[in-house]
Parts: sequence; structure tokens; C-alpha cells
Amino acid sequence: MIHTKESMRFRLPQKSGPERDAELLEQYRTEKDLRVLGRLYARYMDLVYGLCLKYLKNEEKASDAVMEIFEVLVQKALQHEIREFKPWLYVLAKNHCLMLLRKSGKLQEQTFDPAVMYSLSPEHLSEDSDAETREAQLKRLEACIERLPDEQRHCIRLFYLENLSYKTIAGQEKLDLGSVRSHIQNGRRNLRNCMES
Amino acid sequence: MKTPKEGNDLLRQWLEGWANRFGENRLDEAASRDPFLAEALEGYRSLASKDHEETLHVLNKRLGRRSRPSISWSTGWRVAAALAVLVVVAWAVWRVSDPFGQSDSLAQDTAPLTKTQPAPQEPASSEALEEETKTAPPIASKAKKARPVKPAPAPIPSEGPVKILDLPTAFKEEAQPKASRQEEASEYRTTASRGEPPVPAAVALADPLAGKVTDEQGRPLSNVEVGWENLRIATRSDANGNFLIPQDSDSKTLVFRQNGKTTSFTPQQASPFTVVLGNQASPPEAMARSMAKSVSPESAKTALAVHTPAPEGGFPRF
Repeated sequence: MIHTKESMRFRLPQKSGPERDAELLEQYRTEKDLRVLGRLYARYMDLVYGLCLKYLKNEEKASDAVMEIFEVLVQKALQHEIREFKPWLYVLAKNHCLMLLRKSGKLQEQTFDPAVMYSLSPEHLSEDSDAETREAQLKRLEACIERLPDEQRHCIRLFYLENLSYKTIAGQEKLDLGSVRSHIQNGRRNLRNCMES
Repeated sequence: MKTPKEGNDLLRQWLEGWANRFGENRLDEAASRDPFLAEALEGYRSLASKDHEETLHVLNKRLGRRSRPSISWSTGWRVAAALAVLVVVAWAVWRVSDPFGQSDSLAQDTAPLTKTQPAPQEPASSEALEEETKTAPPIASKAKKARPVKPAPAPIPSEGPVKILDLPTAFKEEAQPKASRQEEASEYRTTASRGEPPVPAAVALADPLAGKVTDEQGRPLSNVEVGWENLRIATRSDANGNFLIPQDSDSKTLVFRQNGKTTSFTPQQASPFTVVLGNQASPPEAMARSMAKSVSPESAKTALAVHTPAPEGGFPRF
């Protein structure tokens, strides 16, 4: 049996959702058992860490912020009436990150980058165009793909044309997952720039 | 294969690398409806080349450690209080079951003359004790305050000369029935406060053996040399044949000697006991020499205040 990181992770029971969150929260408020709150927080730790990465742009700072937010949660979960845990945690985590940025004097207006947010899919490219325009766009896209650096082009083809997952591409190309993700993401940005030029 | 429906599961699938372009599209769609997921995804994509799974794994372990129950301060205080109570109870039980400690403390409490008739000057023994207390380390002083000193055995020099202990005046009088240890100690304090020759504390606190020496016709014999076989401690019987000798942990046999008559006797039970002095082989010459040498007027000044009067009907004969 292969023990992946996923299998070692301390996961919650399959039953999830607002009701289950509320149960865990109520149990924590009653018993004040940190293990219960830890189980609840672990469910959203991926989201909290990603959020902290977005604002702090540093893995170590983001990791520390995730633990700091848990410490805040330990107190505030007892003090506040929480109806929906996930939105409440989102606000708590975001405010904590903004507070850290304010303290460090690095608070800037966050700009939303659609190129980062949306994947390159036919739906995004030709939502309101006719078949002819769509055909022209696809040809142009093919030309742009050819102009990409080799690694990006290769990964983009495997991901979008052959529908392979990141992990499969990484195994096939003998690259680490981060590199594959990075090549696909950069290739996608370059393609968008190419298509808009 | 499980079909992830929620944004959390889609994100997890994406982080683990199992998402293909369709999975990524679904994740983006979910992110468009969930600002928390959208911002998190933006964060991951801003550092796409990093191994986020490794970091999340470490974070998960940190969270597990933090969530582990630990001994709180209140629990710690409870444990400390319980231990303190346990120590106090154990000390009290030990204290009650210790007859020497109890008798000593009672003896101090029941010393009537020291309270009603304070001596103009402190006896030498008190001075010695005070001096000893001053020179003792602070911790030892505290220990003495916390618990009365357990009577130590008489200080016995390992190779020193034989110490001759003469009997006190009170011992020369008619023997009285033995009372409790408290009365013995009280008598000792009383004697000391009267200004009589002080008794070395260690000797006074020892648990001496009392006995009587008679001849073969049962008449008491006075001035009989009584000593332990190892020659370290010796004394003499008084006019009534009574004697009192501190116990010696290194020797079990007493030797009695007078005018060439010698008798050895091994006490088998608590004093008092009676010994008949008869004709036996002489003790070792060293014993005789040491005993003769040690019997001097100076040594006779030391009086032993503690005495063990014979019970009514006389001492049991062995």
C-alpha cells in the first residue's frame, strides 16, 4: 500500500457541510476540546493557507498566519455566535492577513488578474461568437501554442489537448508537480497575451 | 472514483495534482461562486511552482500538535496540591508511628521545672545544643524545627578509650517503678535545670540498658565493673548493685568484673535484668587494662540522669 501525503493527512469524517460544521462548533463550545476545533479547522486549512499566500506572498509567513488564525479562532469561537462557519472563517482569515500587511506597511490594493483566475477553455474564448470566428480563434490559438517555449507548449498540449492531469504529466515528463503547474499557468498567460495582441 | 462536488474537494484534487482540464474548469467555476475559494486559488496560483502539498502536510502536523490536549495550569495546581496533601499526611503518619520523636516532643512539652523555675544560667548541655544548632547548616536547622530530633545513639569512638559512666544520685536511692518515657525525659530535664552536672545530650538521649549485679546469694554488689565486650563503653554498679549502660551496636555481650570474679552476659530482652557475678574465666587482658585505666575521679563526675528503677518485686532473674 502506498502511503501518500493525502493518506497521512488528518482528515475529517466524510460527512461534511454546514450542519456538520455547526455540530463540531457546538461540541467545541461545550467541551472546549481543541481537538474538535482542530478537526473543523483542518477542513478549511487549504483555503486559509491559499488565502494567506495570496496576501502575504510568502510560504513561511502564510504558514505562520494559518496557525495564528487558529489561535484567534480558539478564543473567538467561544465568544461569538457563529451561524455559518465557512464565511465567518473567510472574513476572520482575510482580516488577519490584512492586519499583518498593515503592520508591515505593505498593504496595497489587490488587483484581480483574470488571466490567473480563468483557465484556457473554449467556453472562455468563444462564448458569444459564431462558428467562423471560433474557427479563426482556434487557428490563432494553435499558432500561439507553437510559439510557446518547449516545456510550456508540451505541458499545455498534454493538459488541454490530451486531458491529462497535473500528476500524470509530472510522472510522464519526470517533472515535479509545481513545475508542471507553473509551466501550464505561464503557458496559459502567454497564450492569452498572444491571443489579445 | 469519487466525484468531488464541493469547492474544498475540487481544490484538494487540484492541489494533489489529480485535476485535469475538466477538473480545473470545475474548480474555476466553483471559485467564481465562492470568494474564499477564489482567493485561495489565486494564492496558490501566485506561487504555482511551490510544493504546496508539502507545506500543507507540515501545517497539518503543527495543527495536530497544537490541538493535542496538554496539562493546563489548573490541572497542574490540582496535582501539586494533591502531592502536598499526600506529603503532609505521610509525614503525620510517620510522625505518629515514631515513638522516639513523640516522646521527645512530649518531653519538651512536659518539662515543668524548666518553665516554672528557669535556671539562672542555661545548662552546658543546652549551650552545646545551641552551639550545635548555630554551626549546623540552615537546612538542618529547619529540619530540626520541623521535626524533633530523633534520639541518636551515643557517640561511640571507634578506637577511643573506654568511657566510664557513673550512676546518678537518684539512681542510688530506692528503685521506683518505671514510668513512661515521658517521665524519664522529664526527669532528665528537671535534673538539668537544677544545676546538676550536665549530661551530654547524646548520652542522655540514648536508650540505655538497666540491670542489677548480685552475688550468688542474691545480695547486690556495688562497684562492679560493667562493660561491653568490645571495651568501648563501661560503667560501675551502685551501692544497690544497679547499673545503667548505653547500648553498643557493635557488641552484644556485657562483661562484669570485680575482685577477680568475671561473668559474661548477653542481654536477650529489654532491661532491667539481674546478673549473678560468679567465678568465670577472666576477660581479655585488654579489657581489664582499659577498665582499670578509665576508672578515674574525672570520669566519675559525669552523671547519667536517666535511670530505670526496678519494678516492684525486684528485677527478673535470668
